[in-house]
Amino acid sequence: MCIKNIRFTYFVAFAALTLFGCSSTPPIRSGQGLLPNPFASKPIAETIKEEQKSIAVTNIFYKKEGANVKYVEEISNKYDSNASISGISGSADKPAPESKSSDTKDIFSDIQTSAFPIKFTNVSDFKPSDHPTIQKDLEARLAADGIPVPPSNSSTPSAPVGNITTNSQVVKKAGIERQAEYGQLRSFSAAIRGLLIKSGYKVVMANTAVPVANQGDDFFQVVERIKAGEFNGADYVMFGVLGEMSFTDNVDEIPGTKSTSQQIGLDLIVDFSLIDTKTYQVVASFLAEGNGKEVRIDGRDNGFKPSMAKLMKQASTTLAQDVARHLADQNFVTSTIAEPEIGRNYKRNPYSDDASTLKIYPK
Amino acid sequence: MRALNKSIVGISFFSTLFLLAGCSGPQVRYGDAKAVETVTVDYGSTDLQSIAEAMVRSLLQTKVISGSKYAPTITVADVKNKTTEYIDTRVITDKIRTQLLKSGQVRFAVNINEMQSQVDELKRQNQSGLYKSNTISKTGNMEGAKYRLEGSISSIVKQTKDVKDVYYVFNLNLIDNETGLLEWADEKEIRKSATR
Amino acid sequence: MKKLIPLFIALLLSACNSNPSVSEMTIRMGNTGNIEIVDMRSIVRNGLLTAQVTVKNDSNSNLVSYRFKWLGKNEIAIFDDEAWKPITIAKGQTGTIIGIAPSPDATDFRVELNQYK
Repeated sequence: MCIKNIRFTYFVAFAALTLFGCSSTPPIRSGQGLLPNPFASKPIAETIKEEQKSIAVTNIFYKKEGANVKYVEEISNKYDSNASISGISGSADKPAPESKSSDTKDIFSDIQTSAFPIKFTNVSDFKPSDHPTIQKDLEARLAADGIPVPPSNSSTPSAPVGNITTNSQVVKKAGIERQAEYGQLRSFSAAIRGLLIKSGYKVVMANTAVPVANQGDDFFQVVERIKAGEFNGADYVMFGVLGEMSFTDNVDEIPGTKSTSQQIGLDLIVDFSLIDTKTYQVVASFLAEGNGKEVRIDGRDNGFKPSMAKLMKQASTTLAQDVARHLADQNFVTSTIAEPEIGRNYKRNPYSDDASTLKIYPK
Repeated sequence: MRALNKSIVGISFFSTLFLLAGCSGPQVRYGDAKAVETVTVDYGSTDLQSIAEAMVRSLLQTKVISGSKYAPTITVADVKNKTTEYIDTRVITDKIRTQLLKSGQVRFAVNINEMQSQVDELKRQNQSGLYKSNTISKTGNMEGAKYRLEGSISSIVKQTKDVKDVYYVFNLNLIDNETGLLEWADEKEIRKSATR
Repeated sequence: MKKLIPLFIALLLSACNSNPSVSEMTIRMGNTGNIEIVDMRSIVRNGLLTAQVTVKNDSNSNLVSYRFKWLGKNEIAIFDDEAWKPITIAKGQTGTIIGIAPSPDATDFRVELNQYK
């Protein structure tokens, strides 16, 4: 009996140990058993932070184009005279000046400012006589060239002296004039700089870019600007160019109610590139979107006027959030900064009864 | 003779007393709201309760709700009454919604037919100009529902001289609002019959 | 060593059968003596306690109503009383009743049987 018992206990103990041994297997850790990747280099973001390299964030560059239909009416008079008439420098055969495109630009360019919005004018509507400033300047220019301007109301010229034959030529031309305005949006970069500072980068202020006349699209040449030292020695430049900015105002009904909702939005998309100033390598590149939204119930019925300041503030914060999200994708900032705490709907936890307070009453 | 008179008086006195007690008028009692109700063969309270309970329990066990870590947001769309009786289907969906909310596993967004009071309240807070701006609920921040519940109830009535048999079937679907896919569907069948 | 063996066996046996009996889990009201519970089992399916009860009708009357009572930890009820649900079982027929808990708080249940006219 003793021997049997001992054998039996040993057998049970052995069985129990093996069962316990089999019951739990350690989890396979990911990456164990794999060789380290010899080509993986440290992410650029870490090197920037470690070596405390500086980043300059430019204001957002933009170009606004507008086309205007131009109508030019030119009157040229040709005088053949045999006698000299005072007041008129007897010039004969002075040909009517060709209306070159540059001339029309000279006439009109400094009167029409590049203020927005650029209006489109109908060819048939445009008459210089309707625009007194243009008319005055037109007369001044033609007088400076030595051509007398006939008064617009009268059809007959002033009383001629002697034998003068006049030939009048009227030239009417219409064409499309394109204007471009270059500049920088100043309200949207501050939030992006703040985001980079929060992530621990060293941010350096960039000089504002002043557009120069006849610069054309060279305004966007950031490599030239880096060479010219506009970024105060920053190691990286975050360069943003505006893609499009739209202002929308829509009205829709709200289903289930008697009201309508007026939705006013300001959307902008900006093309960002993060450029290394030494090697001109583009380290990160993305398209970010910002939008400001204001919703007014029954707004159209009550003549609601939106506040541009509020919309731009919202657009600026959402743009910074989108930039943060893209930078987090490309491993520049951690996602805790990028994703604001989205309100998650948590399930209710099971009732937590405090078992120490249980009391059972006997009959 | 005297004894007989006395007994007659006594009997008549007590009998009138009993009659009066019986004729005191209709009696009102509280019944059990959960009891089985078999008054007529039409749609009744037990049908309403059993439909709501069956739908709720089945919905809570579906992978969409039990398998997700976060509580999904649901809104209740219409339940169509395809029977010939008058059935208030909104009571059925309210009951389902209440029981689901009590379980704590789902969140509900306001229905289309509750939107008017929601919009009125938002308008009052945001646009009357009377409220402090950091204490108001701002317009434009409502949370949309991921799923919606839709259903229908229909019946088949068969009647002869002696028997009236009514068969109800209640269908409920859970539809994903964005993809349009049906994530869950269940039905409950009830048969009631009355014999003369 | 010798004394440990019976203790070990007793522990094993007690571990096999720690659930209360069917009659402990059933509460009968009214005249339901002809309804016999043949099988009762429960499992947690998708986070919710699911109970399955198989009933058999031994006599002529075939109208019985049932409901489940769901208990949390420490045998405290976690939900209001359910509605009574009628089932129709012919004589000699077995029917299956399935009850699903209303929320994941339920860890225990009781079956209530009642007659209805």
